[in-house]
Amino acid sequence: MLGRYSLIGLLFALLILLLDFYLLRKRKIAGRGFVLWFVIGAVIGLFSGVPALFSLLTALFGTEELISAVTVSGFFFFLLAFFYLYYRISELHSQVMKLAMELSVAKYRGKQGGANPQKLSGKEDKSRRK
Amino acid sequence: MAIMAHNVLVMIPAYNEEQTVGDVVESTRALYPGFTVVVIDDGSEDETVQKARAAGADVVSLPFHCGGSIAIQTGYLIAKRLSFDYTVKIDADGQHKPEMIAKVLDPLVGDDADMTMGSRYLEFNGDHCSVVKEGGRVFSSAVVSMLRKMEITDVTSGMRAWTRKAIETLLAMYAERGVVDDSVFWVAETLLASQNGLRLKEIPIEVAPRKYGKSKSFAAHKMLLYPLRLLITLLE
Repeated sequence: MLGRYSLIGLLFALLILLLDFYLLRKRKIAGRGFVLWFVIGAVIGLFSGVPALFSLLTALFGTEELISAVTVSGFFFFLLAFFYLYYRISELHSQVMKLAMELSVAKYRGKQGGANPQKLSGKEDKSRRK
Repeated sequence: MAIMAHNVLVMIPAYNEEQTVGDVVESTRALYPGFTVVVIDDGSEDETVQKARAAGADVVSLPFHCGGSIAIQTGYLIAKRLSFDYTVKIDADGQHKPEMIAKVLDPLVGDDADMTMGSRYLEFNGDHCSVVKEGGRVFSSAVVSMLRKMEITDVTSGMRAWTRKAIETLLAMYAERGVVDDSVFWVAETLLASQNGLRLKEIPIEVAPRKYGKSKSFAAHKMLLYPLRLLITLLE
C-alpha cells in the first residue's frame, strides 16, 4: 500500500512527465530540456514508487529522519517553478535566435539597398528576379 | 550550363574558418560568376569576415555565435527575402568541392526534386571520417530511410540545394519550432521536408579531406549524446 507521500510523489512525477511530453510535442521545449525533465520526473517517480530507496539516501547522508511535509511541498514547489522558468528561458532563447537572424538579414539588406524602408520590410525584392 | 541563367544563392555558413573560407569563395565565384555567394558569419572571432569579403563574397554577420542551424536558417531567410530561384549550401572548411554545385542543382532545374542532398557514399567512398562519425551517419540514414520509406545513404550531408518552394516550406516549419540542435539538424530537416511532401533526391558528390581544424558538429562529446538527440528528434 502506497503512503501519502508516495502517492503525491507519483502524481507529481506524472505531472512533470506529461508536461514534458506535451511541450515536446508542441515544439516548445528543446531536446536537452526534454531529457533533463524526463530524468527528473523518472527519478521522482522511482523514489516515490519504491520508498525503500529512501533508506539508501538516509544511509548515504547519515540522516535518521525522513523529510517533513513542509520540505517535501517546498521541494515540489521549487521544482515546478524551476520547470516553468526553464521552459520560459527555452522559449526566450528561440525568440532571441529568431531576432538575431532577422537583425543580420535586415543589416545585410540595409547595406544592399541603402536606407530604403521597403527593402527592409520583409517583402519580396522583385528587382533581383530575372 | 543551363543553371547559369538562374538566380542562385550559394550560402556558406562559417565559424572561425579564416584558413579556408577565402579559397572556397574564390573558387565558387570563378566557376559560377553569375551566382550570389553569401558567407554567413556565425560570430567568428578570427579573420573569417575579412577573408570572405576580400575573396568577393557578401557577408551576413550574426550578432553572436548562434550555432550552425541558425546560420543555415539565416541563409534560408535571405533566399526567401531576396527571391532566389535556387539556394545551395556548401561548407566553409573546403570539404565541399564547388564543382559539385552544378550537380546538386541540376535535378532542381529539371523539376525532378524540390531539395537535393549531396551523398558522399552513392558513388564515392565517403570522406574518410572517424568510426564514431561513420556510425552516426549509417545509423541515422537507416532510421530516416526506414521511417520515410526511401533510400537515403547520407542524411548528415551538409551539401544541399533547395528550390524556392522548399525554402518557403522549411522556413514556415522552423517558425513554429524551437531551436533545432546542430548535430541533428540535417536529420530533422530531411524528416520535415519529406513529411511535408517535398521531393527529395540524393546526388553523388565527391568531397575533399579537411585541411585545417576539426569538425565542430561532430566533436566526440557531442557524438556521445547523438543517439539520444536523434531519438528526441524522431519523437518530435
